[in-house]
Amino acid sequence: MDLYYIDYISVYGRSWMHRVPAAIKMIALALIILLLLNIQTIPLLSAMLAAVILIAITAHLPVKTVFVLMLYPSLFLVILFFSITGITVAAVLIIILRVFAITGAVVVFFLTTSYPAIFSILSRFLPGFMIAALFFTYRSIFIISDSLNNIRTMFHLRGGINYRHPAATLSRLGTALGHFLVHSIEMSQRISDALKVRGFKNRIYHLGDKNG
Amino acid sequence: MSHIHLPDGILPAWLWVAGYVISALLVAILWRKGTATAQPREFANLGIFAAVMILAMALEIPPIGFHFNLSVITGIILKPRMSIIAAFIVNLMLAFVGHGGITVVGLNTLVLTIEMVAGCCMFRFLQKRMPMYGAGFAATVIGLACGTAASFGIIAAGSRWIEQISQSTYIHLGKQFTGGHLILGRLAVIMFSIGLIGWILEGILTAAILVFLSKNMPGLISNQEAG
Repeated sequence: MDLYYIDYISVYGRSWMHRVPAAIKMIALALIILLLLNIQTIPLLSAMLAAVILIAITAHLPVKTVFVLMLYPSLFLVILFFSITGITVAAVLIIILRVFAITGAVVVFFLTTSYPAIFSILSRFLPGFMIAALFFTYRSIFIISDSLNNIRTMFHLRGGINYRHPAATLSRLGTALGHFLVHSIEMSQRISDALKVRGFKNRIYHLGDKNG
Repeated sequence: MSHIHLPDGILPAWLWVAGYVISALLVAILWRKGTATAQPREFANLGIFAAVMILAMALEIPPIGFHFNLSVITGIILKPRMSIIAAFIVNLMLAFVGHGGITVVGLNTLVLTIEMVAGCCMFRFLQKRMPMYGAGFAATVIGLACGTAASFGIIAAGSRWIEQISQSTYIHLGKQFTGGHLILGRLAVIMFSIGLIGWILEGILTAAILVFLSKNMPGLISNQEAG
């Protein structure tokens, strides 16, 4: 899951789906999810999944990325199906198609809508401190991801993953992530100092802010 | 694999709506009925550590796709009040990339909050009684076990609906059967046995990080007693 790449696609994409206003896409997504939760037949669910994939293709989204993200619930489904006795192929197909179609719709929505655009819409429903926290997290991901890449390189140079010595591998990984956390905490201190200087009062102002 | 994000389309509407309602109530209660009074330092920590959790989940160990959560260590540093907000943010942002369902963000938030808060409380309790490594390991394992138990409890609460969507009639050897029965015992065995491997791995890692932090930033861990 490369968040840099995913964010790049959603921010810099220029397809017809990227140009649709985020609010309209969010309403459409909610309606599609409600529809998918109530459809019980394989042909209709298949048609919905095909429509989601078609939208992804016409929006010039990287199909491989869409499929990789869409297949994330597979592990949960495997565990669930192992726990159900006498389940028929038809029932399995209905559940799989429904889960993948909903996940696919959410992924297509996100790959064509940037986080800040989504947060701006959410700011109409969520309290100010929650939106501020969402923006902080979004910003922080990109502030500390460079540090994570450096730590990843350091981890590989020190031996990386060695399945013959799992304890040593975990110890190395612990040290690497410890460095990562120390760096993150230092960044947090710097951000905190900057916020104090700017007179931060539990909210931030952003484009589309109705209260700003 | 220490916990599983619940996907969309598996649980009944009443359950995931309840998840959103309970999460919203928890946020409101923890934030003194919505009058947020966090210091800039708390907000900066919240943003950074929510990002740390999201990025840690992107670090997968091949070939099994296992990833760490760092939920317990984040809970220890952020304390319970901020943990629920961090849990909501992490689940919402991950839901947009298919990592957990969008309708079940509330339920996944509750699961992650339970992990973080239980881990934090256990760590505070054990810190005075055990060496740092042991306290970190035990707190992480207990926190993650609580999270898995919460996930299982949610699935058990929605089991009747899961059976409804997976039930169908079929004929075998001339007899008619109704299939699609969710065996909760089997589900518990699978979830907790796979989870146990994840808890131990995450426990060792979290303990190693806590030992590292206690040597390099001792104030960060010891200050938690005051919170």
